[in-house]
Amino acid sequence: MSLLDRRLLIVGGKGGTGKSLVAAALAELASARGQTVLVISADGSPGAAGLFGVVPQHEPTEVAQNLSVLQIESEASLHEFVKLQLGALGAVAGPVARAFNFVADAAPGVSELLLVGKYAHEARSGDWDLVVVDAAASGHLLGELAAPTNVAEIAPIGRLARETGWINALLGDPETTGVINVTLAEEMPVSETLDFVGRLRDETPAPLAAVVVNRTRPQLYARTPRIQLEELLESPPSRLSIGAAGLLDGVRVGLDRAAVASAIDARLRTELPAGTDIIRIPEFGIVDELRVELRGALADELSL
Amino acid sequence: MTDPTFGDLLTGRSLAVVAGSGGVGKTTVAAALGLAAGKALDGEGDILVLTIDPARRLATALGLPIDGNEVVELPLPQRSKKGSRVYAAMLDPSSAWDDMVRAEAGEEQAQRVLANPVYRRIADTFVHGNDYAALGWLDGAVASDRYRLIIVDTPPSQNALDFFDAPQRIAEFFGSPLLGWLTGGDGTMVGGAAARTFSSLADRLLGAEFFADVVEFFQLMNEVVPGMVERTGAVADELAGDDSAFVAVTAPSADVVGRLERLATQLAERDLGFDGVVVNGVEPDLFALDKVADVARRVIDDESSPFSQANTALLAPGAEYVRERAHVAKAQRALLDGIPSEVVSTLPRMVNAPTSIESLLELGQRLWG
Repeated sequence: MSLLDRRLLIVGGKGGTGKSLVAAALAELASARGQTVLVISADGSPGAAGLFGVVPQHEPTEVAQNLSVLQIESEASLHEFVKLQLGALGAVAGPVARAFNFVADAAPGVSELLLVGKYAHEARSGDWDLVVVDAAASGHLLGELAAPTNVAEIAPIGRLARETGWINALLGDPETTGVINVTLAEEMPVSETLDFVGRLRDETPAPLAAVVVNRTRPQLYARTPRIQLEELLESPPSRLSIGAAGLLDGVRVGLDRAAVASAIDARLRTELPAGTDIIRIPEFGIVDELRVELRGALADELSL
Repeated sequence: MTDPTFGDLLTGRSLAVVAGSGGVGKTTVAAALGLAAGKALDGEGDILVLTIDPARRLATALGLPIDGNEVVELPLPQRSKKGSRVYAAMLDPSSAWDDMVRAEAGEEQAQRVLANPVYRRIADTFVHGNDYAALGWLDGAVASDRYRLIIVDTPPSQNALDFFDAPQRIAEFFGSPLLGWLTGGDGTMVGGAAARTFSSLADRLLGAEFFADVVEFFQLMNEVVPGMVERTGAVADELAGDDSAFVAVTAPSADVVGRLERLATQLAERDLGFDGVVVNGVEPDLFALDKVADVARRVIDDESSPFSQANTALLAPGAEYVRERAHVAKAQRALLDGIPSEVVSTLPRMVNAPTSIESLLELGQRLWG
């Protein structure tokens, strides 16, 4: 099945990997296919939802045909939930509402559950064909996805726990939900990705849909010319100018970096579970519309 | 007169805080500076590097145990017999919380806190809990008087100031009037319609038992928090004082440097500032040389190339790469001029991340000057 045929895509990854741009580009591709799409920023910053020229609110704002955005506010989610669950009783303000925020902040897993509950709720509402979540960095995201299970364990009696059943069922269905991890072909991001993928499997019901390796570079040289080049760099012509010798050194650095990147890519291939979709996005350097370039590359990769 | 170095900066200090956003190499810089200090301040006393959440390979390279707040000695190459030792420790926030509770509460009280199910989860997941745990840990290290210099690698966060504000946040959290209202005296809800409404809501949402655990947790903590806040507050003040250096680590990209500038503004509002900035991962000088860029252009255009025709063709794709990196190198160097700090050092982008003690020491000595 295509990545975009799911109803809930949760995009996570280390800061600086470009996860917001990837989330926004996926949403645009889906909406261009005619799907009605909601982009949710859930890490406390405008993120992907903020890339469409409006300041995202807690309620959906339509930014283009078939494309809406919202940014989750945890306090607003809490009020929404209380109201939804308890009806008139929940519509209390003042110290009661404040006390509630306080307990939700302190009670472990509750604020995370409300966050997951919000995007799961949007995904099953029927209003959208696809919900794309620009989620928190890896560690926090794992906490969120595990929250329904944790809350059901430590507070099995309350209304909150009753909600966890359908949320887990939705999160755990690979036809409905997919987690995407965005990473770079560098040692630390890849180590974090592998760690994340293992913990996602062990600690949460949510299935991994794909790993996106952002800012990859093509190999500078194919095998045969590379061997010739290695020979040239091994025994360079004598009496080179500073500039010419510097160029050779620079090419050497380029070759070494490419070798490291390809070793890291190989590590990703061997250590990710067999069959994991790995999507590579090239580095674009300095371009006017990074998102447009990225969208094109993603479309190619997804054969859209 | 030469520009001041990190050696000049750290020689007179007893504490250094290393801050920066995630993935910029904070732990690498903290460890490198610690090793360099061990060499440079040899014989003046021991050095401690406190790291939080280091990359696994770096932790392995440093020989740090994966959990527990155990202090290990780093094997400093060619250490003299009476020379300084360099220690490193990796913070385990959850056991640091336990230590703080034990230090503040009586035996029986501590046992009750540690046994409370809500406490366990909160100690692991509390917002800014890592900042707070690090301060608590640091208080112990400072009080032990064992170290000439302590270098603290702050938890990755959106904002380095969170670290300094942690005691105040905890104090506000546990000191909230809502808490008194919530826990009133004996753990049962105090009177009043609003309180009853709240209690009823909480019972329905969370279940009565869980809610009772939450209330008990806050009651127990009420007694230990003031002491914890006082001790960590004192450390936070010390970190912001004259004996302490504030070192920011940044990547050489416009948005990261922009964040640094915003942070500088926030720091200035409280009469703080960066004492030093390390820009990590800068393209090596090689790529910034005009002569190299010029040869790259000649090779690409095949126009008075210094190489044979066959080699020029062979080198062309590599020369494209060099030309691209030359642009990046120049842009990065332009960024460096705008960094708001007296001491600015760069570390070059390396093919492999440094993971041996020797390579870290070499980096540190580069910074130390």
